[in-house]
Amino acid sequence: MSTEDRWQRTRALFHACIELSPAEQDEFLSRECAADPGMRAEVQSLLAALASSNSFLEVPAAAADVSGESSWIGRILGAYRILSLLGAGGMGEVYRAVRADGLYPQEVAIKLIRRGLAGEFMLNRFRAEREILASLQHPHIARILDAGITDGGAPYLVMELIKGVPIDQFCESRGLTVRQRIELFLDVCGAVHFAHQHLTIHRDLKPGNILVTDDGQVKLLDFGIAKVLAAGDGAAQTQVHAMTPEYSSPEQIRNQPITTASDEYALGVLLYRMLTGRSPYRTDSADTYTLAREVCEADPPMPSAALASDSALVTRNQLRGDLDSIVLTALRKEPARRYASVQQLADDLQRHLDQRTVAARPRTWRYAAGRFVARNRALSFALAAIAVVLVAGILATEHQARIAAAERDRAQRHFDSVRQLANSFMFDLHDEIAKLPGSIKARQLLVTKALTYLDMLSRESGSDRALQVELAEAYLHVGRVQGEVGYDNLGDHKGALENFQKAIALLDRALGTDPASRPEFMTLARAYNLAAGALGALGRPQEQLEMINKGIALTQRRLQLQPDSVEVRAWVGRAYFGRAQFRGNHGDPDGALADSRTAAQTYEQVVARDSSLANRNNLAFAYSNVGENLLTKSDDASHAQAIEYLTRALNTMRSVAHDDPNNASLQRHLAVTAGELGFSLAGLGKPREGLPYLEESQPIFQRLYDSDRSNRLAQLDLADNDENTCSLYITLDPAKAVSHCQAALRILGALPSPPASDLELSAAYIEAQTVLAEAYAAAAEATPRSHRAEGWSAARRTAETVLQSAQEIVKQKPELSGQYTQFITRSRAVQSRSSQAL
Amino acid sequence: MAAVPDMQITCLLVAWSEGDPEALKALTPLIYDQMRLLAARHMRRESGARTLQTTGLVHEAFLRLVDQKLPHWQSRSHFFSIASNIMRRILVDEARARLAAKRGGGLEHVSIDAVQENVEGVEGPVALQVAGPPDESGTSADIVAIDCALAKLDRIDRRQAQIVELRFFGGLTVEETGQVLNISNATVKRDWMMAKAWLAREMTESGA
Repeated sequence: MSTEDRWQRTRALFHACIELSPAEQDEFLSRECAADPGMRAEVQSLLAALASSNSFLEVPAAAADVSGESSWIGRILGAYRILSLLGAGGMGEVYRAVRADGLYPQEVAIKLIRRGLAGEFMLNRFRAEREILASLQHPHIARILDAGITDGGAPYLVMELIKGVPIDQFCESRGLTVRQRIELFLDVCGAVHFAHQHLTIHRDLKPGNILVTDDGQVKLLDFGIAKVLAAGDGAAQTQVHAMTPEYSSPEQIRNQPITTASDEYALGVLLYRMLTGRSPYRTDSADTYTLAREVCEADPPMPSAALASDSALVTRNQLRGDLDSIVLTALRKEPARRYASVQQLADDLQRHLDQRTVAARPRTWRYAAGRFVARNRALSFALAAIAVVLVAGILATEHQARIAAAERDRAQRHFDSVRQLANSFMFDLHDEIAKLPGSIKARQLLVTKALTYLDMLSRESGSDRALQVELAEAYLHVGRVQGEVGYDNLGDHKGALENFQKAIALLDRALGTDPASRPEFMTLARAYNLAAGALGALGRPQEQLEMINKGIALTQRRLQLQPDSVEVRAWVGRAYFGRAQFRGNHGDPDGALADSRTAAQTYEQVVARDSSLANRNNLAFAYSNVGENLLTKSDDASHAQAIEYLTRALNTMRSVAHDDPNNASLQRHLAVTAGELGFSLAGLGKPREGLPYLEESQPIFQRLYDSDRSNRLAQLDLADNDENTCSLYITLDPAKAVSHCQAALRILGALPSPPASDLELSAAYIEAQTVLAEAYAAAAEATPRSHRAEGWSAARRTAETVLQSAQEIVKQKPELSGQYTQFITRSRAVQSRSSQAL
Repeated sequence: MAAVPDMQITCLLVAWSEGDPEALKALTPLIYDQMRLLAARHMRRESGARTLQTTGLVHEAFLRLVDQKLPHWQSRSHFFSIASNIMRRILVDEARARLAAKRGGGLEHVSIDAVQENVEGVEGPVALQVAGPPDESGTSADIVAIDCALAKLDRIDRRQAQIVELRFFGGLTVEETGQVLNISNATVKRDWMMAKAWLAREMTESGA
């Protein structure tokens, strides 16, 4: 339907509706707009606006009394004398005023809210809200100093008087650089996050509400006022607000619950505008309907693409990469997929400013050329990361099942009411709230409340074993909210650890001397796991290892008692795999090797009993882990064994990927496993044997990349694979080596030069160039003497490029010198070889 | 001002009603000047202003400026239409001047919900806007805001915008509006309600 058709349709529906009662309107619209909720929202919003505009426009303009508008000037309102009118707006007028008693000379702004907007309900609400607003004291939030109600019944707010310009205009008029703009924006984030922590959502963030004073201080206005107004008439106001599209989030337009994530979205729009000078939407803001649709449905172009042209201040290159990802993350349609909090958005921007890797970009792993051991460590780390994700999925399922069980038990046993209350706090309410994005603060409140009950209950729990176990479950739950590693949590690892330990103490008491014999042993095993994670996050490896050991001992004992349980056996395997990781990362390669062997054996037994995809996938991880640990040895026998294990891992993955060919992460795991085997063979001096494996992984990576060209991880995977293939060919066929390296560089770079802000990508780029220099050198040596000059000069040119970029990076980031030394050394070698040859 | 019909205006009006577009160009400045005089007189007559609600300036101007013996009833409609548009311009100019004087000419952003973004077609620093249901529409800020919102509505639905111009700025009744636009009273009423709702919403959203 064209815009014109839509308008005519809206008009027809509106005309029909005004003849109907509200109930009939509802029914009518449900019927007429069944397939078009946007149309329905539009008509309803107009009806709501009509309902609250009784006398609006009814008195002709010329007949209105224009002299009455300054009637407040000179009058006393509360403790203030009104000096002049500053302006008028949707909610009423704003006056400049001073204290009538002359106690303080500063001027203030008084916002007088239009009587027509202040219904009875709203006045009550206003009295309650002003307390909250007055408590919002933050250097970047314009303070509410006082509030009251006039004799005539109109509410007013006394606020700090801010003289400034809207933030977007400030950026332009002061000619701020990208960095300065982001720093200014971080101040805004700080204020918004602060308000969120005080359970206040702005709901109406836009440049007009974010002023910057002459001395560059950001001040946010009207915090929470939208809420006060919305309280006046829930439906109508939300509807009206829903139609402020440019800075509205999709959920606001759809009239869904507004959360802190809605403010984050508005901040995303703001940042977009501050960086590009334009709106993320194509539609003219006057075309409300189309714009609202665009907000809900269309993905905005990347800021770097939206920038009209490079200016002296902002260039596409500066926006490309990190900033594109960050802005688009804040602008995701689904609140749950945005940053979990405004703080996280700010953290990511800060990381970008500090040139650290940002979280908005998918994490990646590297297995490109470099010293063999260093590369190998990176790879095992990456595989571990994939393993963690898989294990986490399994744990989550288990956890759900446990909760369900706990619910049933509770119903059956009729615990006393306090206990039910605590439990409903913990489980039902929390789980509901957890679904809301950005609800961490509310969850924290819940946690604190629940802990009060829990501590009380646990003192009274006496010898009731079932109650103690249930309490332990609750403590674990609280701890997970506080700080389970790898999840959306409050980041309070210390508090989390305390609660995990409380749970362990309760379980120790409840389960007696042989906890493994009790059915609740699983709760204890989970408690050990969680505690180990928290200790790791707190940097206490000694205690972490103790906790891991307790987990191993417990699950193994249980396996003795219940040798037929596949589930218990898998637990044992996971426990050993976890310790292998820990030892590998803490300088104990022998211990890591032994544990990884045990883990692999255990998983073999698991798979023998239940060859599900997940179990076989985990087995492949375990095999790879053994292989990696063997590669760190220096004897040929170990290396041969390593290859054997890596081959087993590959064969396992081949069968897994074959059974579920559409699962992208399994496909990737297969390609990674094949690539690892191929490159390990090359590292052991057998490039010709390694080649087929890299050729096996190449098309898989290519397919994954082709299916989603914006996937940076897939891009790096593919480039790495080409680069590894290049390294292999250097001794076998230097010309092919050169072409593979060039392919890698092509994939890495639509980028003309290493992007300084993306450390991972720039390292990959420089690494590929280093290998390319070596490949050119090798190719030069392989050509007839008369034709060598060209090859050598290409080698020297490439090596010099590497030296220049690498030295530049190390100069700026001395902490990276370790990583870059090898590129510099290798390029120097190529440089001197080519200079001699020339 | 004596009720002496201005024959120049009358003749031009007849010519325009009969289809001469050049006549309108000549007519507009004449009516503008006359109406501004009328409006100024009304604004000075402070307390009396409210008594003029039913017969607005447009009616008064018609009575004063145009020969009532004119045979064409269309002439009245044409006059109402052009006079309402002129009335709008006068009131908006007046209101802008008032606001500018109040701000002392300087641009100062204050902690208000007043809109900061520049609205198309509005010169000067800021268009202060007013929300939907005011008790007394007609402060200077309201007038400017309504004018801006009306310009937007005009792009979407020309006839609804005309209805608002005739009724709010021109002070015409439903019947007169229907005659000017050659549509039924029922349509005027329904479109009037929709336009009111649209404008109220538009102004609340840019203002609140």
